Amino acid sequence: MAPETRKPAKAAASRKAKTDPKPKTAAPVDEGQIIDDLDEGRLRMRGRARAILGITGEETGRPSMLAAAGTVGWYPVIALGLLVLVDQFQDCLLLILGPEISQTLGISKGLLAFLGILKTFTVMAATLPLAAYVQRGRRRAMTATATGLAFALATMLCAFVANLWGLLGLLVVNGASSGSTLSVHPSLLVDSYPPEARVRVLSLYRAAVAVGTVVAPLLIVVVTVAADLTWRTAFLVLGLVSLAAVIVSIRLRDHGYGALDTDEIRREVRAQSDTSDTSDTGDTGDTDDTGAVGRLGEDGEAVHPATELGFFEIIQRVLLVPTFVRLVAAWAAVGMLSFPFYTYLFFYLDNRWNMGVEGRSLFLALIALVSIPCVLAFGSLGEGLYRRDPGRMMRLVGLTTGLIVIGLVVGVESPIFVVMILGFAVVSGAAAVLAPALYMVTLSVVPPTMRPHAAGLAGLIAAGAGSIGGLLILSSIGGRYGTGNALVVLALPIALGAWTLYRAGAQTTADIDHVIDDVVEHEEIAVLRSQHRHLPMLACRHIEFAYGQLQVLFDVDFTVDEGERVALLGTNGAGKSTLLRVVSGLGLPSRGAVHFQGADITYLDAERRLDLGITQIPGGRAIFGPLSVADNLRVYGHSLGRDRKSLQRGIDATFEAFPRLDERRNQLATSLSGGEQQMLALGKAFILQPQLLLIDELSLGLAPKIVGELLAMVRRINETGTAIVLVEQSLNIALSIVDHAYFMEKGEIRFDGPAPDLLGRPDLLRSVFLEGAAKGLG
Amino acid sequence: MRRLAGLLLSALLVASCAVHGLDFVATSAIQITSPANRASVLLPLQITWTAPSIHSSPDGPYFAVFVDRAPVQPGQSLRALADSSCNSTPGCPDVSYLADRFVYVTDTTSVTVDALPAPIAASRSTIGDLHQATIVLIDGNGRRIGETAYTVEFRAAGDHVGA
Repeated sequence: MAPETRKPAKAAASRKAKTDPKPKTAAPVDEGQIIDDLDEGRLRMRGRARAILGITGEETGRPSMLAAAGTVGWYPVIALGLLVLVDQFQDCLLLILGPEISQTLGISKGLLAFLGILKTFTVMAATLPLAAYVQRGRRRAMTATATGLAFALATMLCAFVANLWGLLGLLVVNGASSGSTLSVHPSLLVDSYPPEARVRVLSLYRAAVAVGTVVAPLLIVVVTVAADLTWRTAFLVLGLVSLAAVIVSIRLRDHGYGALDTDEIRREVRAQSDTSDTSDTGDTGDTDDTGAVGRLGEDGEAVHPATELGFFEIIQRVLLVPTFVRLVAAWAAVGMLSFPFYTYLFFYLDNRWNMGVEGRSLFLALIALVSIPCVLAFGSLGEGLYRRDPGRMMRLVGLTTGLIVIGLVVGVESPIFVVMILGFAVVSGAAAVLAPALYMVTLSVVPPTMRPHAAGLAGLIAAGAGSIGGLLILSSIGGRYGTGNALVVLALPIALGAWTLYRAGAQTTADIDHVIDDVVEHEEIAVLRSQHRHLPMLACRHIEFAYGQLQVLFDVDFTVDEGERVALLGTNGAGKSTLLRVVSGLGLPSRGAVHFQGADITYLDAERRLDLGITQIPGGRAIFGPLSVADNLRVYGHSLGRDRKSLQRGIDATFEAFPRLDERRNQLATSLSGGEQQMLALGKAFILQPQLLLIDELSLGLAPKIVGELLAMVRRINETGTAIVLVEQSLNIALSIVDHAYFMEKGEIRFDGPAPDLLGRPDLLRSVFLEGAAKGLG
Repeated sequence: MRRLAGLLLSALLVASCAVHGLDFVATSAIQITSPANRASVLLPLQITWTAPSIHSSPDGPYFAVFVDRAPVQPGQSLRALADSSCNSTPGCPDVSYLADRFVYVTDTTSVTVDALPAPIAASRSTIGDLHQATIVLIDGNGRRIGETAYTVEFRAAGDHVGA
């Protein structure tokens, strides 16, 4: 039995055996060797890259915070910490001075609570637009300062509102600026410090939130009780304090995405490449002979302008990260433990313990104070655990979140005042470690340029599913069973968050490796380009794809070179059409990468791939039935925009190639025969003139004579330079036209080699329909 | 679009903010003497206060006590509390109309509350539902004078709560 050729190294050998592998390419090609190099480079670099990302496998040997911060120093964490500290002010002002505001402005408490919810919605609405704004360019520092200024001014202006509408407008401004603390601050903080200091830095940042929660009530009490001033003066004073924080933060700088992590990995890849290949020209890789790699991106990554991911593509990419998906419940728990928890805790303290505004404010300050040493201790402990294994840190945080559940139940049910305080202190302390741990993991499992988006999405989940969902739960339970019982019920979703946190750790390292692999591979490609080595036009690497829970592609490698004709064969349900969907962008893989002309297009939208020159003719007559033949062709040319001449040339070429279509140009497409419909579908290639044409099931259900005509046309399209990937169930049809064949079975590539060699693989052919064809041909 | 939204927001803020007539310093012209803040009470409840610097009279200024409801806005008339049928009736809203809506108007320094509104869910408690009374000054035209308001919170057992 011949060995299976599933792995790239073996695929390489078969590829080398091709007699005429590159009819349209002048440069010598060694794709198999290139793929081997990429795989070896990836594996060689993974351990080193993990260390660069702060995962050394050992808890010891951690540098001190000061040493880790290096030349950056404490300034970024202090500046951002001050901004997030003062961001707590307005929530505290509304929570504590709400009754006075309501009496002054003559608005009900219910309306005031509605304004609070509206502010939460504004925060939600602002997070992702802010992420989109900072996506291109080093805008995070400026955005953080500008939103801080907007917040400070809004807080000060609140002192002058005369009616509901003024308060509403200022809360909207405040909410929009607060969105920056969710999407911009964490990513800027992470990119300002090296990985070995990040858990500690994020913990310090979270401690600043707690300090804000302590300072705000104290300032409010000083202003309103001790100094006998009104809520207006409190807003003015706290607004001025906020303004001072903004002035301190004015020197914040954005050093770029991944400057201290993925850029280091890139440098390492280049260094290794320099030592292993003395023939390296020393080219920086930002240009090449084809121009496919156009410039260095903000994070130092080589990006082609046409393949740079847009906002929604990045969001899709983030949502495909398994760890991120698993952390949704944990982020919702973070949201529940903020505004809804404190609102109902205030109700509970009022109703159960008869605590007035001053008592509640003191209580809030006290439990926030307890959280400061907890989060600082976690910074050191969590850093060590993350260094050893991020999963261990996640499990610790999962267990810590479990403590919140216990603390909630004890706090609510205890008849002893001191025990009640201890219960809620446990909740506050344990909740404080959630955010730094979650940010650390969330921002580590996505590429650096996607960090604002990941943080923004997390903030959206926390504010939406957490804060709004939590309020709905609390209000529906609280109205019927009392505020205490409502708080106890909140323990259920938090317990779910604890469980998912505990479990998410198993996937975290794999997702970080995914980021590493992407960076290494991109850099390896840049190095290969700088060495003027040929790269395949299309390279699908380690592709995995699932429809929901059903995985259909497993570690698939698939390459196509310029002008090549490749057949993709296999049984029904083997994953052939799914692989085409991954190439054309109709499906996004859960793992792996798709490179086209050296550029990563894995998560690029299908329509943008069309512009790059990838066209798919789906199986099952890819036509618009209710339209005429001519209109079908015009629709195919939609992406050409206003280039009417090109469209007309394409339509003329189609009618010249298929005179039968010309005769029926005004007929509805549904009235055409099966063969004519397939001809019409092929017309897409004449109009769009793609570099890569993916054809799914060309011959299905057609007469041999028609199939012959279609195949002749496929050859003609190929002769113009278009590479063809033909998904076929008929071996004799496939072998009559292609140079190279892949055979798929159960989502895996089982054969990759010269097409005639497939006939020598009875182990593959026996079990499937191809056996008969093989005999016939043999 | 963004410019338009910015302009609208700016216009809203300019129209909704003021620099005159705002209280930045708390005043204590009224001292509520009973009930004590957060005390447990029984109905009928007498709310009393002292206001030595205010010379109240039926022609104004006089006091309005709002129980479990927000007071009218500064400068706004008590007529804002009346529905359309009341507004079309001469003499309405009068003292009894307002009292039915838990607003007690007096030129003395006490009012007697016979019934309390049903509390909102979040204010219900086994130690007595939390209620709130807010006193503001009203001028001769029935309009609220200034921003200052004086509040007392108290707890009342559920049995005594009116509709």
